[in-house]
Amino acid sequence: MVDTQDFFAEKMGKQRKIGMGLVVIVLLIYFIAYALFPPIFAHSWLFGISLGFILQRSRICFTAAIRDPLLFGLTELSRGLIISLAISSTGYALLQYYRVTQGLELVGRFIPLGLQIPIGAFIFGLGAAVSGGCASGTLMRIGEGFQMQLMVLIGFIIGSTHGAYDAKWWYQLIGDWEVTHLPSLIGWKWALVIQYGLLIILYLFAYWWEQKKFA
Amino acid sequence: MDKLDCIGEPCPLPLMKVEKEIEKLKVGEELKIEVDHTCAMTNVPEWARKKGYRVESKEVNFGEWEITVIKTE
Repeated sequence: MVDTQDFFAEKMGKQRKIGMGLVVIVLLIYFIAYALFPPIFAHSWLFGISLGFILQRSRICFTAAIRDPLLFGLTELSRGLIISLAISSTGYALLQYYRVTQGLELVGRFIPLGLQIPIGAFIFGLGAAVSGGCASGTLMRIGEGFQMQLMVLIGFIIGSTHGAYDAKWWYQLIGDWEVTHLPSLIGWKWALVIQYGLLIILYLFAYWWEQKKFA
Repeated sequence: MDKLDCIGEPCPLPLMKVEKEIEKLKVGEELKIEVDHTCAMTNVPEWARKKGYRVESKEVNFGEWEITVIKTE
């Protein structure tokens, strides 16, 4: 898409060298961490770096995926997000199915359904819209050298530290209702039908929305 | 020739400005936009192509792009 013809070739070469240097440093830290700390730290390091790299290269922005359909009628990112949700649903379904049939405990983050979800989502959305990025987007843009996001990072650190400090109090407000696990309630077949059905409907709706906006 | 300076502006500002500026242009005129936000690098060309305008983009410096939109129709 980007025309690099008039772009300076020697600068590109320099960028490659810096990139290779960074790869070497990342691997070095991985081996040092692997030797000194429990392996989970080293693996998390490599996993985090890979995730960040993919996120930046794919230029996916969760804030834009929700915002652009409303603001401009663009739904390409939203449809990408819906497809990625479908893919991760498949992965989670396989993982959970395996754990349930083996009699193991379920893995994942389960939070009981309730009013706290729309309220929290609204607050998060406000913050993301004003600051120009959700958590991953903010970190990614700092890496790209976008200075305004550094201010966002300060707020982000203060907010999450404070949140972690009071987390107990907030969770006690939700109470310990039982978490909703669709497959345990209505069986795997229907849970998957509902999940994929909703995602397909959302996808088609996004497509139709864009066609309507650019008619 | 008009040049829209969007350096340092986060999403969605560049596209909102482009939307306004394009409206003022006559058919056949072009608008150059300078951006340094990768998000704008995806949604400005996408929006303009879907509108049926001609779009060209080039990287003028590391992380800085110049997008040219030519109003057609």
